Amino acid sequence: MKTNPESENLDPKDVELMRFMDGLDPHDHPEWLEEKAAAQQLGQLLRSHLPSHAEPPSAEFFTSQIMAQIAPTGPARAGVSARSGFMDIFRRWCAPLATAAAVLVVGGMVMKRQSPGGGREAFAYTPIANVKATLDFNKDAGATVINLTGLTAIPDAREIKAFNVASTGAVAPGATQRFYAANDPDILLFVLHATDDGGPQIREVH
Amino acid sequence: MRSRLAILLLTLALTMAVRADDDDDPPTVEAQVDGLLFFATNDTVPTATEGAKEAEKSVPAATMASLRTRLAKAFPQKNYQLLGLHTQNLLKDYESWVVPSKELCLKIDSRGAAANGGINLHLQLWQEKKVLVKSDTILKPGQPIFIGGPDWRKGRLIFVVMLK
Repeated sequence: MKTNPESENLDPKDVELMRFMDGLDPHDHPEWLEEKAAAQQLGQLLRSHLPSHAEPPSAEFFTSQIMAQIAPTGPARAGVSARSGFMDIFRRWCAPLATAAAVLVVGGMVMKRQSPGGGREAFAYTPIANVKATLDFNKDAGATVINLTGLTAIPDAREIKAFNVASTGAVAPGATQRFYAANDPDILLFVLHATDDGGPQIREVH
Repeated sequence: MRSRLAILLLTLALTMAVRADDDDDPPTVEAQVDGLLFFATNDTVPTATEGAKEAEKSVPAATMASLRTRLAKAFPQKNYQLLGLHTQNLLKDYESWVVPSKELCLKIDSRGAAANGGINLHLQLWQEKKVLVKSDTILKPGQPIFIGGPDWRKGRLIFVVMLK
């Protein structure tokens, strides 16, 4: 094990433990064998689940799933932060591995979404906290159903204007797009301008 | 030296001419989709607006009846009133907006033909300046995509996208 500034401030017993974990301590420590076996098992888990060549279908979705996996461990870790000694060091040593394991478990889930033919299966993701998005194929309906739960309701007082809109042609990125009525090409209904975040800025004209 | 320069300039001019030709090519239409906005409710449906009446006329009655039956199998509401419709060409290498209403609109990136039929899409459902959901999915002929959106009044808005 390489010495670093942090290890210089450690309890000598903790340094000895870390050297033992790394296989650098020639002495026997039967009391630490259980911890060493657990660490080795974790290492094997990492190696066996690492699909290093594949890319997730959506970086944003991938990150959100990692955060969802890690999130439940947050409060527990915060609750024991005052403890010191061996467990504190062991936890510090294991934390990166645990995070990596979570990444790999999620990675495995995402990779499993890829079909054997190389095409990607469907998924849905919402960036809104407290909103849940599910995607299923409903056989009875013969349709893919994306269901969003937990969205803020639209106020009852709001009137929703909708139209019969004709297809538009191609516009250059960043250019304003105009939408006309399907039954009358002279009636301009909306003007849409894509904002920097990719969202729409829509002005209703009609 | 002069001849080398002439060859270089000629090559450059030809390259620019080819690129200009590429730019002039009209974008390829990969598919045409219908984006329909429904109001789903167990209550009595409100009187249809002029826009809704126009939209209803644009879709064959049998298609609408089938769609309502299928929606009722996917969602708990009994009544499905069409509010708006936007028929849009999906263009290769362009993002397309499907906007039957300012309230909810769908951004579609076409990602080419799917291996077993249909078309690979990346969808984003937007409500004003907020993206509600992002999805990578496949839209197949005869298999619409239903997106259950926000509640409104005594019901819910549902966005439907299907191949025309």
